[in-house]
Amino acid sequence: MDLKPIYMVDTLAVKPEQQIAMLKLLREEGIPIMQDAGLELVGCYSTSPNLDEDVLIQVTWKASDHSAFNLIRKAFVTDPRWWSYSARASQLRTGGTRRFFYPAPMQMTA
Amino acid sequence: MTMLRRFEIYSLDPKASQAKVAAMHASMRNAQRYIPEVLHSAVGRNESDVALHFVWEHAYESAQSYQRYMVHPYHANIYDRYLLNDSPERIVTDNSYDVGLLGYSCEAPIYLLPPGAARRLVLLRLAEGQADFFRAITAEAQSRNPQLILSVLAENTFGTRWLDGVTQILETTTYSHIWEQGYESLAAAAAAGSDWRASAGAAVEKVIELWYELDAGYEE
Repeated sequence: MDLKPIYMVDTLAVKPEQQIAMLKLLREEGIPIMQDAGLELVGCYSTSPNLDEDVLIQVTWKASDHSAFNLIRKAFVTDPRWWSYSARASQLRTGGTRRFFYPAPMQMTA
Repeated sequence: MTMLRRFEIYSLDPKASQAKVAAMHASMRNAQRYIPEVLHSAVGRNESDVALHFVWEHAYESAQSYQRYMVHPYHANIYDRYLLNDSPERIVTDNSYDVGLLGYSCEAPIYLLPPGAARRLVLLRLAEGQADFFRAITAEAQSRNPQLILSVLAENTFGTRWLDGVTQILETTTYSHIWEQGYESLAAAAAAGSDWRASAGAAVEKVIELWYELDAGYEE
């Protein structure tokens, strides 16, 4: 399986009443910081806040490969804004996941 | 060939699930299964009163090996998941000790202990020009304690060069030197004490000590 490009998919779980606060934090801080570091924003989607369960906000980022991601990681980890953004985001979310996805090898399926 | 010796030291989130802590522990202990470049990988739970809980010690054959580790998919997929501040699955916390990543260069695996042995790790900020003076103190400490079976004092060159192990990207790091000690048992490591501090005087500007039993992913 060819591990490029890479898609970093963050799924952030928040209480319904925190949905707008998390989206505002992403729009105003998280997304600009990660874009400045070199990640491409593929999309940002949210589940409904009207389901009486945690809202899931899914943010998908793209980088050309893991070598490029290593340099991007250096850029955001050494950005003081990222430390402050991360601390506030951690207060808003109740859980979530971070997973890396790659183009699925569809030609190998039966 | 210059090897790189490396430590990652973390405080754990008390709210982290035991399953995730165990998964991180296993991923680091067994690192070489996933990333062949990671040598002599072992983990330990700190038993000193310093509020740092988890140590991952390992090494690389060369800076090139380390650079391959940094871009290995397992690194971003698994280690970053538990460690990076913005990861929703982070299980470590910020702490006041400013340790994180430390290490040094060496020509051979002078740090190597058998599985099940214990490490006492002394992280030091030495006053300018005091390294030789302090090296004599470490030699004297070793001569006085037959339980101290391994003693290495080295300059912490890794804290400021974590990206590739070579290029300096940060101005300074809190601990200028690492003194890693080896003992046959955790009890011996805990009992070793710090009598050397009286001799060191003002040569040591800052120090913390950790000790732990090695849960090694390598065989003797």
